[in-house]
Amino acid sequence: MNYPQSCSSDPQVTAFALGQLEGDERVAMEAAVRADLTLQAEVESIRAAAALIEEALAAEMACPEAPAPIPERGVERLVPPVAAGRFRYDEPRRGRSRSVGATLLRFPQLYYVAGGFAAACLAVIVAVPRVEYRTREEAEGTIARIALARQRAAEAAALTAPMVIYINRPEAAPSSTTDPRPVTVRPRLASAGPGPGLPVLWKENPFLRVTQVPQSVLPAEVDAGGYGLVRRLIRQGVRPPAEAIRIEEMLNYFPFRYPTPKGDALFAAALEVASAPWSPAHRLVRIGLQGREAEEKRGSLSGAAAPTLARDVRIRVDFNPASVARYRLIGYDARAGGADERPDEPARGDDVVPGHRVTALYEIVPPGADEDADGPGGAVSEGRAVGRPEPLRLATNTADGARGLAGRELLTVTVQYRLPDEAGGRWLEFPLTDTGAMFEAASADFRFAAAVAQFGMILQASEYRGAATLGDVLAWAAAALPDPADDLGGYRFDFLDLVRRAQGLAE
Amino acid sequence: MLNPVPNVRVTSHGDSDFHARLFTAHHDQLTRYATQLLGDPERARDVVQDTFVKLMAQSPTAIDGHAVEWLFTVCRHRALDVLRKESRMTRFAEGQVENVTANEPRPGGALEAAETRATVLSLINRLPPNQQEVVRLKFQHGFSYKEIARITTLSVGNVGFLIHTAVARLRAEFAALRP
Repeated sequence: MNYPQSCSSDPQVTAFALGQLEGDERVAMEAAVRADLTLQAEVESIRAAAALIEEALAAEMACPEAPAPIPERGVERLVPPVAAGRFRYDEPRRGRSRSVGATLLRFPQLYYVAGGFAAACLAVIVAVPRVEYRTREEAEGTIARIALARQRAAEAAALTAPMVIYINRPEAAPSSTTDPRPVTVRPRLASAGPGPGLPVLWKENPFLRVTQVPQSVLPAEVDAGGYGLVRRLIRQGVRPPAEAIRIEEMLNYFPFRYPTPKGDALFAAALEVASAPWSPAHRLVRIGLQGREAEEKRGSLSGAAAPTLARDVRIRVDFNPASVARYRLIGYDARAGGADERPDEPARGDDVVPGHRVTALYEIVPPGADEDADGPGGAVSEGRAVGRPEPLRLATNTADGARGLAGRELLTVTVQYRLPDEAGGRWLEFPLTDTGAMFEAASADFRFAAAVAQFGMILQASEYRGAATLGDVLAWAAAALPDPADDLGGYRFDFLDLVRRAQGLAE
Repeated sequence: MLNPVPNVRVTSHGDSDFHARLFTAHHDQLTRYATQLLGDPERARDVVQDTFVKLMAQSPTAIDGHAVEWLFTVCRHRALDVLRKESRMTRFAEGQVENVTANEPRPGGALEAAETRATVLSLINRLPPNQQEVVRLKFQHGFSYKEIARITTLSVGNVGFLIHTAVARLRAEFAALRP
């Protein structure tokens, strides 16, 4: 193994061999290579290795394990038709994938048996001699099933009765070649409550009485992955089960344009309140938190650790009992077996990076508004609190109620954080005063966020979803589309498409 | 049900063909790249979808000429965002070694072409993640050092060093396979 010493010598030689040098550097290296036989051999060797690497990676591209090729043209590819049948794709693939004699088909099979047995997941890889492509729907279906199955791993452990869980595929006429196992319809566990003998896998955040719990704490960091799951399921024609819906993650998938912090402040809060569109006697509060952006400098995100803006960040909301009777944090629903129970007093806040943004919605019942409808999960109906200021002035009528509240402080948002290199905590306070605005007069961002929340609540069959329909969601979201030049547009059009697809699924 | 927004096009810039061509040509490529970054095809799919959603809002004139680079850059940002949120940034920590994905012993002797490819792939898969990424961007996706530098926000010199180190290591390993 007498490999030339110079093999680990100079990145410039590698760059030259790979055609990456320009100008004087290239000229100089050319001259050096011409004059030096060892260097010539080195360059040849690098090129030979590069050819091997390229060929191996090209072959890898040609045997996709995840992506299926696109059978048609058009942007509509992004949103493939629901319930399309199997699709055969005969156009030869592009690129360096000429030498494909066989392609791999994966048949993931999820066996999900609880009650003494561990959940097992196995994928059988079968090489077939012909190139055959599956549709994107199939691929996505597979992925969605894996995702849900994983999510349920913890939940299934709680089940006592043996039971097989699959996600139903509506068009599923399981063919023996691709899907050798039966597809069982998974029982839905929506608001009607679990079936007999089934545990509750999901429970909505209830309305809380301000007199009992005057303070609410929010995590500063919310993942956005929940939206992707909902999107995959709906696109494959499956109505997502209630416990798969995470409204807070759906909300935080979408970018919003919140004002950036001014001066030395690390965070700015974009607070807004208007009537809740699904329940006009209630108020809807949008809390948008925007962290300061990093100074633009190339190379600051070099793949390793991202810079930290602040540590131990948490968001606290103090409600004014004079303006708020009950409140409900939308999303963050409790899940059986989940390790991510929130948002009750996290032991520690989150570390956030520059430009961090988080969005949360609270639904508020003003004093005097539908006190009788204590709502499911509501605490004991102890009636109206004695001594609450001016409860009788407030009518249940929205406009009147709002007028009564106008100009009064509704809540205060406190952002607690530490600087990365400081031990002591800091905080910023943002009070919110209710101007009595109606939903229609709210900002586009507010209305869009409300549409997303409502969408989630309808999919969950939430007890708090009110009278609104998917048609309303569509109308609100469509009315909240930004300027065409704004890159929020892509996200919002994508959402519109998803709501339309959801309309097509069984209500 | 009444549909209050008829005929909303997915793109807002009129040149849906531009976006469509990019999607068709690069979707699989990006998915593979994101899968390599994330180590997980499910998340990769979401990240790629997000990338194309973002693309929809770009006017062709704004990114024409470097559209593919733009796609990889946005995709990478989004993937790192996902990793960061999951505190999995260590995957890309500098100097991380032996991301072992291949357990089979190194074969010796003459190899058939397919076998060679498989072996080479397994060797590539053993490179540290940061080297794997640039190697794939170079040899699988065909980007130049400069383009890779912009995508990864590394310096061109750094990209050159990573590729050089990876290629040198692979060459030594190839050599060891030969009798």
